Amino acid sequence: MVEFKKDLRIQEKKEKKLRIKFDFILLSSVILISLFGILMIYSATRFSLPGEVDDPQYYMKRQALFFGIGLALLLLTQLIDYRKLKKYWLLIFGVNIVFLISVLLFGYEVHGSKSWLDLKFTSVQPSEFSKIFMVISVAAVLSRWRGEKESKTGFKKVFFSLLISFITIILIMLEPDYGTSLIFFLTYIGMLFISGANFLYFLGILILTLGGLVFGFKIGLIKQYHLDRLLVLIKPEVEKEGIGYNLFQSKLAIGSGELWGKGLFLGKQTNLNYVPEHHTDFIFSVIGEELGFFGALLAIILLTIIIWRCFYVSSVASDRFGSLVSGGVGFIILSQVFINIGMTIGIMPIIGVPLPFLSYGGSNLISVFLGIGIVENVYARREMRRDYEIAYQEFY
Amino acid sequence: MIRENNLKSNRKRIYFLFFLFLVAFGLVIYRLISIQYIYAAKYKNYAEYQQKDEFIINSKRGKILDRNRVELAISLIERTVYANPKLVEDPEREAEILAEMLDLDADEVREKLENRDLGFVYLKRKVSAEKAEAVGELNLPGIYIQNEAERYYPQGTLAASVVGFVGLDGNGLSGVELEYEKFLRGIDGKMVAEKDVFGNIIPGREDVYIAPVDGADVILTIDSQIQYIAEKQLEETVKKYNALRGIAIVMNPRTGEIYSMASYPGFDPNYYEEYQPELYKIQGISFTYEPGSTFKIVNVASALEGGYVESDWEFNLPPSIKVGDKVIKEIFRTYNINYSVKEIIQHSSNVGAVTIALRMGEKAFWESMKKFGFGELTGIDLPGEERGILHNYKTWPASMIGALAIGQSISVTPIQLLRAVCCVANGGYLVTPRIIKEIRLGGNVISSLEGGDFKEVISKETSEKVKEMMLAVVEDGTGTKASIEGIKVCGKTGTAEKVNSNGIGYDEGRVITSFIGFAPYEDPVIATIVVIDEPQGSENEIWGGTVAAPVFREITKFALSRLNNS
Repeated sequence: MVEFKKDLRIQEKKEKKLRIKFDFILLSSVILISLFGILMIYSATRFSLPGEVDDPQYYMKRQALFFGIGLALLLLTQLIDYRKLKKYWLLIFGVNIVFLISVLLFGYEVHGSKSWLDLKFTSVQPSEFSKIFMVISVAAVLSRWRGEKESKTGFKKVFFSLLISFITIILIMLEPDYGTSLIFFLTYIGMLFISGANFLYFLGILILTLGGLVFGFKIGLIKQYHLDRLLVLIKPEVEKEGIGYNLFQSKLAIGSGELWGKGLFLGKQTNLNYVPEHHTDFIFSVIGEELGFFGALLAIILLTIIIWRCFYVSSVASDRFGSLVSGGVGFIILSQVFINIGMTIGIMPIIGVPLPFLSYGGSNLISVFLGIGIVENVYARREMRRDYEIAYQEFY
Repeated sequence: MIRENNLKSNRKRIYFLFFLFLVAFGLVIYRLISIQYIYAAKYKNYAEYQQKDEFIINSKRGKILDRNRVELAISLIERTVYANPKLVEDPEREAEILAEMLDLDADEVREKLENRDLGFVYLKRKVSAEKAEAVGELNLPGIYIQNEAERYYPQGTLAASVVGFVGLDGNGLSGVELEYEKFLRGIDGKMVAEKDVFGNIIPGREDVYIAPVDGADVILTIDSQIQYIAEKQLEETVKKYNALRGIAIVMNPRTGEIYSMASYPGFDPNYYEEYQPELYKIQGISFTYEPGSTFKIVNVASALEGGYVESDWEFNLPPSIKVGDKVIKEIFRTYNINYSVKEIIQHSSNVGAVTIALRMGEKAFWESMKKFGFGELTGIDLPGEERGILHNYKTWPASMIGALAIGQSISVTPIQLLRAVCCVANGGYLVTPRIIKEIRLGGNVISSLEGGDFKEVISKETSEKVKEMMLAVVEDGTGTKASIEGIKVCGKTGTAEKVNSNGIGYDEGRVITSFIGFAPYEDPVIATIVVIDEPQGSENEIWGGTVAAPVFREITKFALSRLNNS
């Protein structure tokens, strides 16, 4: 017993050396794309400022500040072993639920969604942080549940992980924020998939979901205009003025960028406000218009590298929790990137989902940086000897 | 070992997902190529089309001034408060503020501001400069001030029909405003500029900018003061005799410059839509009537010029004369009398005038009338001129020459008759009446009064003889009421019964009284015609010598003193 503990101490010393071991590919891609985002936000807002703002650099400065906070948090969290998160998953889940309920009670509406909480000194979007909280909770449940072995994804794990996902998604749908709900759903499915769950579970979830959608439509939670948004994808021309307007203007912006773009700061579609929400949900239209196909490709490549690194870390993680958390963060980013870019070019319906690292917004940027921080944490601790780890976990 | 296996299975699934993810991103890239390369031109063109707008920059319309630069028509900057409801943030609050500042109904304003389908809605036009500025200072979102050019006629009714007016779109619709449209209007500028989604023009981002060229100022020959006196005199007389209308033209007999083109009733061009369109007409050039006795001047001048009579030839005149199937009578005389040609004019003898005309014969009389410009446009530079009616002598019935001799069966405009009489005043040539003195663009004269062709109609000798006769009319004839102390005035009265409304015969009691003349006798500088249509009163009082002559006297007296002083 004593011997064992001694060995652990040696192990922990080794660990300290590992702490500075970053995945520099991931870190540099994240920093690069964030700076890229700050530049594009400046371009999108310097000429046409939304809200009562006079300083043309206002949004750029704020985003730079968020980036600084995010980066600091990313580095700071390296000091804490990510496995502690697993221990406190229930607390994290509780905080998440409290946040989401308080936004429903005290939050204020933006664009029809009650998703903002005013904390006097700043405003936050709890559903953005909820993404990370949920990933941690689901990963914790899937990696260990009473009565089931860590390595196996049995019914209990599936049931309880599904339950906590369901609670979170329902709370977010009440805001209502369908975009974020969809991200959560896709992320959960992805995490369940890499956890090695039996395919029958997926079939069950599919049936449950379809039933839920039909029920949601019946009781009026899902309305006709939600379906109309899907229709726009098929016939965007007929809706130049209505719900298809955003998509139409976004396509005009991206298309007029051609291969090489109109040049930084020269995007008229966005500067002249034809594309709405061009600093947040439609930032990709600004990139497409000003920097052209190759600028858009650069953004996609950087995002692809980030997602690849998340999955890579997931595949080399030293434990199941780390693997699931990294994969979860990867899914969060992946689903947002695909839905956001997809909606600007007309292959996904228009739902308010920000583009990670690029869209303006503190909650989104800081939360995704926390996620990357956990991924880096998992990467740094990937080489822990598995025997010890197993022993450690079985012991405590 | 179990765990190892499990992790491996996880890895497979992760790789599988990553593969799916790459396929999805391949789809995104394919879509981007489609939008940004294959169909890029289509999107680009449409984007440019919606981002650009062509704006007309209105040129400032030129002024209309009188000969002494008194402003008759000017363009004022008028302020309009309008809103772009799409940009209004708080319709209720903004409506309350605006309603109080602009004296509007708060609910109405709120309704306008809440109509978010519109990008433009007028809130109030013709707002004072101070109020507009105060509204502008509030910087309410979506509320704007626009400066619009508004045509304003500072002198109101003065010379209104001559000056004319512009329509809502700023185009001249009558008078000088219409006739000189192309000079007054200037050339509109053009700007192709970018506009944002709300339709706001982005300053400093013009693609094309063509500056407008402001319109030229048109300076009239009209003298506002003479015009004013003429209109005032007409108004008083028309009211006094309860007449239909009064017309007066004051002209320089040598150059054709018109000092006054007056008529009553008139209209205020600032509110032209409140008046009958009939009043917009320039009566002096569009009113046609049978001139009556004033036409005897033309008759006698023609006969003298053709050598058919001499001024001192005497005729024994019966009280009536039959021409063709018509009998022409004297008005008061019931006995035979001997009148010289001069006395025929002096006492306005109808039988005498017919006798003279019969000596001339139809052809010579007709040719002479044509030479005097009857039945033709005078060529005055104003719109709406009538040519009157002078039938060709070949179509004349036998009685026609008798009627023409006393100014019947011919229809003339006041300007035609005045121009003909100017031949007597200026030594025999026909002037072209002119209303435009010059046109100035930015201080440079770009067009000025032309003399016209000055065609000789009668010899100087003939004109001197007729002048003498017309002097006698005022000094000791039918026109004594036109005499001005210290000045020798030449003139001729006219009282014509109006043609029956069905065109057959004449109505008794419905007359047009007129007076035409010039002064001073030695060197005429002013020629004036006064026409009073249908003055009411007892038969003895209503004739040219009593109704029109005093008006003539007042106008001519004032015009002479005005010209001497300036």
